[in-house]
Amino acid sequence: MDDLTFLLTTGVGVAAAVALYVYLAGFGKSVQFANAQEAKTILQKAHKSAALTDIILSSDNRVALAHFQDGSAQLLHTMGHKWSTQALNTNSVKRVKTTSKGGLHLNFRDYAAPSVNISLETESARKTWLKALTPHMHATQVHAIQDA
Amino acid sequence: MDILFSTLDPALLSDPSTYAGPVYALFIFLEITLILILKRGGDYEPRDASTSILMGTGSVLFGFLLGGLGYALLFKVYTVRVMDIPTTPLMLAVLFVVYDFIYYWNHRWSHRIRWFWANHVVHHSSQHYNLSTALRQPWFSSLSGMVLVYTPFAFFGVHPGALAFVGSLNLLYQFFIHTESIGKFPRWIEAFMNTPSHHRVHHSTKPEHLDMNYAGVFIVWDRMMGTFIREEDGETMHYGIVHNLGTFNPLRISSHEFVGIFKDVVQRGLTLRQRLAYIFAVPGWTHDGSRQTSDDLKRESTAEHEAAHAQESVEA
Repeated sequence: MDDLTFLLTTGVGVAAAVALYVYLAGFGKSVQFANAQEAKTILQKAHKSAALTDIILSSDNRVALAHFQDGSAQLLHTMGHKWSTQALNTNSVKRVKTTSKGGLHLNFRDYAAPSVNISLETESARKTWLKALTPHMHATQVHAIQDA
Repeated sequence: MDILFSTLDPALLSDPSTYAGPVYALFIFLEITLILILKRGGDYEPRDASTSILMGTGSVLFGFLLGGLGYALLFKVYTVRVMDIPTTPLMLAVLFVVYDFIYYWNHRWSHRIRWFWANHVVHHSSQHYNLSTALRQPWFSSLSGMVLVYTPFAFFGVHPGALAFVGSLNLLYQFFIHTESIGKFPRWIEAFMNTPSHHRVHHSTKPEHLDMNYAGVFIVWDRMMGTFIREEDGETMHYGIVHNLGTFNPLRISSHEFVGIFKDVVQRGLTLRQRLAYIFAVPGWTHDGSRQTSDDLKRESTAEHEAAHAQESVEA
């Protein structure tokens, strides 16, 4: 038992120390796309089979949602220094919450990509995102948002 | 020469990986410092690195809790061994090489059979490639049944302690090849040893690189089996898996492929053969062809290259 406790405490300790050192070394900042074109390029690469039709971006340029000609959708979001893309289907979005800063917090049904924060500065941007996300929510979720 | 044949007590051989923790930590700090000073040679991200280290800790922890099962099986088989192989320094050296060949197959099956991939995908799940990535290890590998691959050693008289010793050395070697801070070694080393350059290719997501360079210590196995591919000079690598994860949560990383298998297997309307294929076929296999395997991705990439060449020829 002592061995396991030692293993756990040193493991967590080293993980925290490395994270702190990496952060202090200046490697803590997440990536951002410079503009919509950069986000389009990444998303188009992730979904080559159909042309991208429309795209919306978060205010901090860290999340983008694109729709494609074949009716599919892809969400682009940061994983630290790297990008992660996620296909959105009709029922992908499990829950949508408005954050205290007026952005959106999405929970997905995808076990390997559970949630994402979308930074938004204006009410119109929030409405645009909600409208764009509606096809990917369950009907009850859509009603809840409309009622709110 | 006599020392090569001197008999050792295999039960007293220490497991080097048990003491490797401080060495791992020291070299991770050194690599970060080197990247910081040189402004090249890799990339670290706080959450990614800490997740990898926590996953390494979890892997050892689960090894303690569950690993006894595999070790117990090896000892059980050892009790019915057909011969005795004394543990000597020469025997350990030979065992190290033979073990590495078996490791090649173990690793190859871990990429080509989804049940084993469900564990091994954990190691490939980081989009970064640095020393901390080496520690991103699965938690449930003791339950995969891969230990069966090593039972013939015990059956033919290799003490499980000797097996654990060389296995641990193999793992220790592999820690040091997870780095972008080292370019290429002299050609004679690159010719027969697995190096950072060869292993970067193994972690790359470029279709041509998928399921290549399986070696642990000696790259010669890949050269012999036709699974070797060289890293091109100046090539920009993208690491991770074909569909990268959107989480740094260690539990989700450890279990996501098992969850995927479960969801696939319980789909309605499948035959038993299809359900089994979702567990044991190559990763990416689906009954309706809705996903791509690494072979599909390679074929697609080859076709794209050929089309591009044809277009260039027409324009020329």
